Amino acid sequence: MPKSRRKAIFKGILQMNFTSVRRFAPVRSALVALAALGLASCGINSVPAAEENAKAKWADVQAAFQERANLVPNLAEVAAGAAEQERGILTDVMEARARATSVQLSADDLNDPEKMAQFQAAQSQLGAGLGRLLASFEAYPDLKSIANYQMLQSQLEGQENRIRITLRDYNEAVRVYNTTIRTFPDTIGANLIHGAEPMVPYEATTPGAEAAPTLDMTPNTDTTPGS
Amino acid sequence: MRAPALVLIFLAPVALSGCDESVDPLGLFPEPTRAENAPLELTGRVVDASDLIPDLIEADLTTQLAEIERDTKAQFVVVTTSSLEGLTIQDYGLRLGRGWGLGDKERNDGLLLIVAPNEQKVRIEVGYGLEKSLPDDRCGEFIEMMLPSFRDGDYVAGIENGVDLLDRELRTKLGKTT
Repeated sequence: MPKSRRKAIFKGILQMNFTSVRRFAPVRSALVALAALGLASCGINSVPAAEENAKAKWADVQAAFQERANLVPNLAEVAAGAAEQERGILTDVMEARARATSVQLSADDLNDPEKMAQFQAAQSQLGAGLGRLLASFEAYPDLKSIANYQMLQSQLEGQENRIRITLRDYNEAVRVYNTTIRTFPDTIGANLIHGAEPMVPYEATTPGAEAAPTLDMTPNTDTTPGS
Repeated sequence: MRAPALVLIFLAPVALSGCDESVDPLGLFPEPTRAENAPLELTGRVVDASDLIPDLIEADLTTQLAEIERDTKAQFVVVTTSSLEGLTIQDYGLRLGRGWGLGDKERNDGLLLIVAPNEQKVRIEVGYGLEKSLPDDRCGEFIEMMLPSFRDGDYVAGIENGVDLLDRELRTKLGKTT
């Protein structure tokens, strides 16, 4: 509806209202219709759109974490040639992986801070374990020369980066959603129609804890450990 | 009898402000996501911001990159930068890729080779759509193959080698071979 026309209608109703409320019974229904029209415009589409977007981004997060978990068994092969100590870390990592894959967070629970905290804790533990394992592998020059290990390292490194990106995108989508449901006028629709609750962003307990530290592909000659 | 009038007066501004056509009356668009601004301007297929590549070679590379796009559709841009502006090269690369909107929107097949001589970093940034053709381990190998030239300070040879490697790989996986 063109703005001018709508304004004209408003004007008409308002004038009628001031001058002749009693004579015009339809005013009441017009009022209801007007209120409905007004409210219908306020967040009826933007709220679910923002919600769907955040949920889709969460699906990306889960896929990225899952892919990391899928890479872990390949580490077992590499660790077979390593010393006792590394096998101990590997056992920890495998356990952390089992926990991380068992703690799932469905898109409908994204407004539950407790469930989100559990999910984060499980993933952080796996990330930290992987970081420790890779760091300990650095002490084995033989290991580093194995093509399989290098391949795995690039894959893990790439995956950690992908996880970081999906998390950032998810957090941004949550910010947009949370702002939408709290900002007038969308908040009217968000509260009255959708019963929208804010979503929880993914915040690592320690910065970067969700992702294992990565080794840069730095074109430096001094890449020997300890130097 | 006064009540409806009052309510109406209260409601009118609600309705009006909520549904002003200039600000998305039907609530079709949620709040926009923050734009990721590219830290460099996209000046061509070779963005030699740190001035490492001689003009003639830059022209050759530009031709090669155009041929890659013609044959494989992948949009490949080579970047040299004098500063990562305090970002990791991963984040820097992501900002360039997203900020420039490389690759087809549906196929998401942008590709970046980024060289930061001052930070001594090099990275191959792969659009989602090319991840199957250029998986992480393969890109890791390519980087390894480029590193010797970079270590010798021969950035141009390293970049040419990298572009050739990616060129061949893309053609093998996606398109016509020359």
